[in-house]
Amino acid sequence: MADQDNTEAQKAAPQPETAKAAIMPPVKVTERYHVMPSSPLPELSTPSAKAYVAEDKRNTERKLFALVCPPFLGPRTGIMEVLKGANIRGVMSLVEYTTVFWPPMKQRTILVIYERPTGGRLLDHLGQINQHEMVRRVIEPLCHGLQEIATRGVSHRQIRPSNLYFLDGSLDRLVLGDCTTVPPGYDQPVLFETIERGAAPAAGRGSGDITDDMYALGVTILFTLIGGNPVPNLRTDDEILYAKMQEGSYTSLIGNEPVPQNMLEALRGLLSDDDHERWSLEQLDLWINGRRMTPLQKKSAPKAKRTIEYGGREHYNCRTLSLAVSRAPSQVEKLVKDETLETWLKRDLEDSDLATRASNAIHMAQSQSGDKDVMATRISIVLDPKLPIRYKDCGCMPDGFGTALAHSIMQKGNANTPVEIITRSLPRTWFDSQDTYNPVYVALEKNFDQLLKFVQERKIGYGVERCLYETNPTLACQSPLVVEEYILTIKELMPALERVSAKIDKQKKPIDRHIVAFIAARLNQNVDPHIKAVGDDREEIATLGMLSLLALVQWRTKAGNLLGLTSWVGAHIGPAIKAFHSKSIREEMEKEAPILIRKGNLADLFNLLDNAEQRIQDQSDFDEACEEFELAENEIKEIDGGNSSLQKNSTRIGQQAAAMTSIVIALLIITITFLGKLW
Amino acid sequence: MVKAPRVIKKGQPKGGGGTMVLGFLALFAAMILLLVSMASLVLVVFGLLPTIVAVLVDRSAQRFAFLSVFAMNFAGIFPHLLDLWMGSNSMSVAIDTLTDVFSLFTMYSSAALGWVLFAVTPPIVTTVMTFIAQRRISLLRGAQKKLLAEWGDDVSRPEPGAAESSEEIEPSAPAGEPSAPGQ
Repeated sequence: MADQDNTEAQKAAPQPETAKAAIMPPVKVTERYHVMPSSPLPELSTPSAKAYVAEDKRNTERKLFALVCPPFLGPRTGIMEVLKGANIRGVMSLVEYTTVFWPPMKQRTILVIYERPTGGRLLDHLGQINQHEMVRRVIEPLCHGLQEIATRGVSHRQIRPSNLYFLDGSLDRLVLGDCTTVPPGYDQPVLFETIERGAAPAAGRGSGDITDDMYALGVTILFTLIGGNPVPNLRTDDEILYAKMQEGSYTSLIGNEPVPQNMLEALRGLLSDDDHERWSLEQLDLWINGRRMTPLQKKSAPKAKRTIEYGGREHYNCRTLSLAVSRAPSQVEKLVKDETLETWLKRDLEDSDLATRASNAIHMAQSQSGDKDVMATRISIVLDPKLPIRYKDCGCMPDGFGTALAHSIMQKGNANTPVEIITRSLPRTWFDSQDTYNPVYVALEKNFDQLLKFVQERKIGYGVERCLYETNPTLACQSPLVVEEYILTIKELMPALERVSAKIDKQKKPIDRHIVAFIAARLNQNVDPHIKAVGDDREEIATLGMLSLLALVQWRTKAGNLLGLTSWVGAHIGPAIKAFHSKSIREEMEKEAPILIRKGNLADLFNLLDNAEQRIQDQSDFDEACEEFELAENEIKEIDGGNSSLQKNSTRIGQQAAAMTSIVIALLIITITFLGKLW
Repeated sequence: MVKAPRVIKKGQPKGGGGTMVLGFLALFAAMILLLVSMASLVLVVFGLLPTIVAVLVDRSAQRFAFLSVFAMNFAGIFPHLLDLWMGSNSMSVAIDTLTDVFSLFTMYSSAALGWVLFAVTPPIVTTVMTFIAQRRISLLRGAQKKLLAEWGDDVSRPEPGAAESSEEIEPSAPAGEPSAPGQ
C-alpha cells in the first residue's frame, strides 16, 4: 500500500521532478525553517502531497519534514492553525505552515512542516505488533490523539495504516499522520470509508465527523491484527461496497479471519454501519480501560424474498440496488417499465411505503425531464437516502459538494455535472428523503438554495465561480492572473495583484470572473452593489465597479499603498473618464489621475472618478449644451431654408421703405418750402 | 398662430377697389379745387401727370410705386402751388408755370426721383437683410463650434435618454461606496 501511495503521489501531484531539482536551493519557510526541494522523502509522502526534508535553522539536530499541498485542492488551513504547535500525544506535531513559492511546481503553494517520524509507517510494521500489545501500542495512542483533536473540533478523516507513523524505532509511539494537505477523506481508500462516504468519489466524500474516523480506526485495527488487507479478494471499490452493503462491514471485512476474541467487541462497535450505534471515542476509551459492554447485534438491511436483476447483479436489498442504479443509469428504464421496481418493493421487499416513494420519484423525474440520469438519481436516492447524491459521473455527500465541484473544474475543466445537480434540485430530493432530522442538513439545504441562485445568475461575480469559492472556503483563487500566487485568503489578494502587476501585460484587466467571485465569497461584507456595477453592460459603469471593488478590498484588508496595482488599474480607467461629457473636466482628470496613481491608493482614484456632484453637474451642463446646439441648428436651418421668402420680404420691405422715404422727403420739402415762404 | 388662408376671388383685379377709392378721392379733391381755384386745379392736373401714369402702371395692392411717385411729384409741384396761392392765383400764372421748362423739370424730375427711389431701395434692403442673416449664421456656427470643442460630437446627436435624470447614469454601487474607503 505504501508503494501504491507513492505512485499515487507522483501521479496526483503535478510536480515536475527533473534533474534540475538536484540543484534547487533551499526554500525559506518563515525566518526559521528551510525546505529542500532537492531532497524528497517518498517514505513520508501521501498520495497527494509529496514530502521533502526540512531544517530548523535554530536547531539543526531537529528532524523535520515538509508536505507540499497540491495547489489544485483546498487544503484544510483551519485545521493547520488549530494543530500548529499543539504538540498532542498521538498526533504528528505540526510545526509550521506557510505559503511560499515552490520551485518544482513553479508556483506558490502551502508547505506544512512536521516533526519527522523515524519509526516508519504502521503499514510497514503490520503483523509485527503482538495482539496483546495492540491496545497499548496502537489503539490507546490513536484514541488519545483523536480525543485531543476532537476537543479542538477537528475530525482527522485520513486514518489508514499508511498515514500512521511510529515516532521512533521502538514502535512505541504511534501518531496520526497528516490530515491537512487535502480535503477530508480525499486520499482514503474505499475500504477505510463508511459505506455512505465510500460510495462517493474521493472528491465528494465530504468533511464527515468523528464517527467516520472511528470507522477508519476500526478498519486500521483490523489491518494491524490481520497483518494486511483482510479482503484481498475484493479488488475494486464497487466489490468492496457491494460486499459491505450485502453483509455489513463487520462481517464482510472480518470474514473468516482469525481475530482475537478480546478484539471482536471493539471491532464490532467500530465497524458498525449505523453511525448512531458506532462506538464513540468515549466508548472506545471505556473499553481500553477494561469495561466490557454488550456486543452489538448484527443488523443487516431488509432482504427481499426474491432478487431483482440490475446492472448484471442480483440484488436482495435496496442498498445494493441503489448503488447499481447510480452506476448504470442507462438501464433504469428496465425498473420503470411495467412498474417492475414498485412491484418488487411491494411484493418481495414488502415495503409499501418505499414502493409509493419510488413511484412518486419516478413520476417526478418523468414530469421534470424524463431524463434517464435524473430518474436514476431520484430512484437511487429513494432506495437508499443515506448514500451520496450520484448523478452521471459526479457523486457527493451534501457536505462534499464543494470539493466535488472543485475537482470537476480542476480536473475535467468544466462543472457541467455539478451545476446540473444544483439546477435539477437533486440535493433537495436528497434532503427530503432523509428520515431523521439533522440540523446540519437544514444549513446545507439553505446553502444549496443559495448556490442555485448563484448558478442562475451568469454575470461576473456569480455563476459557477461563485459556487466554487462559496463551497470551498480554503480553495486558492483560480484566476489565471493569480493562480501561481496561490491566494487562499482575501488578505493575500491585493499583495498578489501588486506582485503580478510588475510582470503582466497591462492591457489585461486586473479582475476576471474568478477574482470577483473570490472577493464576493471571501470578503465578509455584502458586495453585491459593486459586483452588479462590475457586470454592467456600460463600460464606464463596469470600470467604476472594478475600481470601487478593488478599492474596497484594499481598504478593508489594510493592504497599504499599491503603486503597481494602482498603475495597472489606472491603465483601464479610460472609459470612466470618457463618461464625463465635458472636455475640460476630462483633461483635468487626466492630469490628476497620474498624481493619484503615484500615491498607490485606489480609493483616491475612485473618488476622483466617481465625484457624484461633479457628474451630476456635468450631465446637466451637457443637457443644456445639447439644447443650445439644437436651437442654433434649428435657427440656421430656418435662415438657410427661408432665403427665397427673405428675398420676397426684402423686396416688399424695400418698396415700403421707398414709399416711406418718398413721403418723408416730400413732407420735408413741403415744410421747408412753406416755412421759406412765410419768412 | 395659424393665419387663415387668404382667399382671392377669381376675376377680381388686384387693387380694383383701391383704384376706385383713389379715383373718388382724386375727384373729390378736384371738385374742391375747382370751386376754390381753377388755376390750382390746372397746375395740379398737369403737374401730377407722372403720378397718373404711376397709378395706371402700379397694379399692386399696396401701391408703393404710386405713393413714392406721388409724394415726390407733389413735393415738386408744391413750391409752384404755393407761389400761385401766395400771388395772384390766376390762370395766367398757372399757365406761365406750366410753360416754364424749369418748373416742369422740377415737377417731373421730382416724380422721376420717386421712381428712382422705388427702383433702388428694394435691392439695397435685400442686400442688407442677407448680410444680417449671414452674420447671424456665422455667429451661430461659431457658438456650435465652441460647444463641440467642449462637449464633443455627442452634443450634436444626443443619444436617447441622455437628458434623463442624472441618477440614471450614476452607478448605483460605486455611488454608495466611495465614501467608505475614504472615510
